[in-house]
Amino acid sequence: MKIKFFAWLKESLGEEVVIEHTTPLTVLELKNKLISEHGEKFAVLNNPSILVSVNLEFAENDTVVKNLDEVAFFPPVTGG
Amino acid sequence: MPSIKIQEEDFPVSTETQALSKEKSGAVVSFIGYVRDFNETHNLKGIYLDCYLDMAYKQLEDILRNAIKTYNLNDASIIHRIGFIGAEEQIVLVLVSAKHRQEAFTACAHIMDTLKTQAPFFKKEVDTNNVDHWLNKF
Repeated sequence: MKIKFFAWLKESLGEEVVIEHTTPLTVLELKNKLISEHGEKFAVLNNPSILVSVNLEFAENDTVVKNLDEVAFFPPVTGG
Repeated sequence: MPSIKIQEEDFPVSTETQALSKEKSGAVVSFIGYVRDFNETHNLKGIYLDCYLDMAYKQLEDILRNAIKTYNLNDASIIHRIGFIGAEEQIVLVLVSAKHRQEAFTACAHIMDTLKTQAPFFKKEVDTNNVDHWLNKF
């Protein structure tokens, strides 16, 4: 599973993390997995302002993700 | 067909307006967004725009398709710049063509409002000393 980060999250967490996970898990479970396996700095993902997408669509904590999905975390958008 | 471009280069508004289909259209409305020089950073040199490119194309395509259907537009296009953009330069262009002006005005405003909440672009302000600052960082 490919997990991407954007804006200042990219600077603090890196551009991308790839994890192997054969059974589906929720976004919330994925956040906890990142924190336990990649460090406490990933706890920033639990901030309610941080947005998440799964396969290019906005998602929520209870969205289920599978091994081949692309997940991304980013701060509130500021385009335009 | 709606056109979406995400690019570093500036865009010529007249050329893009020419390219918009105006078949059965009595109105074309355009919106141009500029880099403000009066935001959170004093002595702003410009902004750096990061983007989740694949998702931005997908979201902008959805926004245009919905607007075309909802407001009965004949055509619509968006150009959004990324990378470094100097103060007072153009960031974004939205163009719509419709049979009547009211639906064109409403659609153009709706597209921009939706873009600002749904399209994954991220601004970092850069001052004249090259000190930078992400918007919405906590």
